[in-house]
Amino acid sequence: MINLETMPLTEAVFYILISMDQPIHGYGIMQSVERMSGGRVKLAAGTLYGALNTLVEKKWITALPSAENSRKKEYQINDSGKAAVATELARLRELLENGEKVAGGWNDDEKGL
Amino acid sequence: MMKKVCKLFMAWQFEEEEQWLNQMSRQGWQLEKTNGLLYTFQQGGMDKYQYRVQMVDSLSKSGDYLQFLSEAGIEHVGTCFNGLWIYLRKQNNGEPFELFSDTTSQLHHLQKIKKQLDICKALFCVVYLLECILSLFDPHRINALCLLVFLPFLMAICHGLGTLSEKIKTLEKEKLIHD
Repeated sequence: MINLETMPLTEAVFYILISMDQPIHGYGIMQSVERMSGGRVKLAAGTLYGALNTLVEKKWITALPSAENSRKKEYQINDSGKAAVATELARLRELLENGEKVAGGWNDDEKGL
Repeated sequence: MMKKVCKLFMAWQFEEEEQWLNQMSRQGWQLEKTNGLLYTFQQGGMDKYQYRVQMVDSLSKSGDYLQFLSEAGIEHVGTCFNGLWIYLRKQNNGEPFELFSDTTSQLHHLQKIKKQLDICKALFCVVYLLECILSLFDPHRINALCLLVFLPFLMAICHGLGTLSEKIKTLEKEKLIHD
């Protein structure tokens, strides 16, 4: 049986989750993710909307009641979401360490030749 | 100036439809409204908008989605099939306008279209089968409706399902390696 909780997160989901430390609305997430990734990750609206709904259903994020004068819905990460990010970070750290152990030497080998 | 064009695109041709709308935009014709068959264009800036077509759950459920899109500067210009398909546009800022930025969501969209087509195909098969059974009991029954309408339509749907399945397969293969 696959343990869904330890499955890798998609890049979009990971960036969405870490952009939600403070309450943030949809368009704010797009801007924040683009800024954090130095312009590399541009979330498209359909992808973001689908991910937000799934994350609310999974109870990793909370949709906040919208303010009176604003129709913009805001979201914030909750404790289960934070736990998911922590699990993912541990997995990424492992990837990075193992990857660097092996591939880090590849460049030196080439230089040696 | 305004221009009305009547044109038919099948569900699996939505990408061709987008290309056509963007082609019109480059020629200075901006889609103002449509019901999926009749397209009303308004003359205005060359390449002013970029267009996308999307299948959604239903318009009643997608009100929230349209609000979400408008925050990102995406306008809703038309609807067809009782809100199953929506037509969207965004001012051209030099960057490509995409609705899906990863394979997972792109795949999800294609699978949604395929599911609807599968239902259509099943319905047509049932009707066709009923016709065949009826004509067994009544040899004089002329199956013109069946031959001229149902069968070509059924074949078109099967062809469309094939096209979609190919696209889905390609994306699924890609997903084995990339996110």
